[in-house]
Amino acid sequence: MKSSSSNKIMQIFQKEIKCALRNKSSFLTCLMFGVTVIACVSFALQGNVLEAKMQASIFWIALFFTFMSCGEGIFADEVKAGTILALRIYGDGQSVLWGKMLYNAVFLSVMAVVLAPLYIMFMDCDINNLFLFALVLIAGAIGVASSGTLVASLSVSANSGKGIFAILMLPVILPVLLLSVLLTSQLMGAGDFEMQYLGAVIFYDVISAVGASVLFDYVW
Amino acid sequence: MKLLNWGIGILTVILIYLVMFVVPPAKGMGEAVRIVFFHVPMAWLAVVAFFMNAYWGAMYLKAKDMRKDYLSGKSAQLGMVFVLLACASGAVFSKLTWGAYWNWDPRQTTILVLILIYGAYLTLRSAINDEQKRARITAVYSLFSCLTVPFLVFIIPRLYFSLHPSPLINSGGSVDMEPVMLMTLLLGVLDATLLYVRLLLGGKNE
Repeated sequence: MKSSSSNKIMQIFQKEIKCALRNKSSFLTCLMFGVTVIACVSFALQGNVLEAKMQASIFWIALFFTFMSCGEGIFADEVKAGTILALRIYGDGQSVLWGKMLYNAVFLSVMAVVLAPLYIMFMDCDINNLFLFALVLIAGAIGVASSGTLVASLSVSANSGKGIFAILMLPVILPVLLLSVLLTSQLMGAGDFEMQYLGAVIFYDVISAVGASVLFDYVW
Repeated sequence: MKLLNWGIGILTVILIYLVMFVVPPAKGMGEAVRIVFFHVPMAWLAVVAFFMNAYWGAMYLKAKDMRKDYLSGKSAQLGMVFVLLACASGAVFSKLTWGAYWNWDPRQTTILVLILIYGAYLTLRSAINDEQKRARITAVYSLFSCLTVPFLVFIIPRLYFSLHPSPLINSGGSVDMEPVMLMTLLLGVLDATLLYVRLLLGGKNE
């Protein structure tokens, strides 16, 4: 039973990867959205270097809106393509949630890691420790992905278009957003890196994933 | 219900008398301290309504009883009003005592997150037409938003410097307030809680 469940999770994850590779538009739209935001900030600043806290805040705001531009699609695209019913027949709630959550986590982590060098280059940021920076990015992306998967499933039930996803997301991911901004600013030179806050981000990742898992069956 | 109405009315009159004529000006806060007797009960109710919203949501998911969904939704509506009143009275108090309406105090940050949660919840509620679906989806969202509570209570306050007065029971475990002020404040909290119960139970779906 256990192995069949993990198989289904992996199959749903692979299906998401295949769909993304087949239809590259969602990945490219998301990527270009992030690039556009960063370019926009860079144009506005015209070479002025910001202090570390401001650099970290703008970086995470850019990532947040990039995530928001593509996060909802994880369920909305299924509804649009008319495949949600097939998915319901094939997969139980937990397999669908974990498969999509895994895909979302990988997708957002890749997006964050691709956009970060661009931001560092345009904004002239100094990163103290690249390994910890990557860890903060991935831990933050996983937090957004785990909350985002459940919230995306809720927002497709609403009849008010795409805007509602960001409205629902911001309050629930604020803890991880604020902590990620703090940790990133410390890595950009605003104070010593406080490992306990990275622990808090990972704690958020775990409880939001478990919370989503407990509640998803009521949505599915 | 009639008894409750009378109880709230009498309590409110007593409370106004105590706040306006009995409570002395506080050291360092002067007459501005009177706002506290309105602000604290509103902030208390904003938090109570948040947890009750989630509680009734959970009860709905368990029993699939629309009355529970009604109470959950009503609690969120009342919570939104209380949180806005708490925010506005807190901002005025902040301006009078610290010189700025908003200074990113941890409790101000928490109250802002609460406003965003209530706003998101009510937006979601208004965006779903089917009653059963609306009850189910909004209950899930209200429960999921409760996951932010440990972060708002234990972690966010460490990120911001606080000018906010100590809670009623301070870190030393003692009550650092004059008896008449304490009594008035507790009376205010009781009055506001009764008002919340009255408004919650007194709607169309009674």
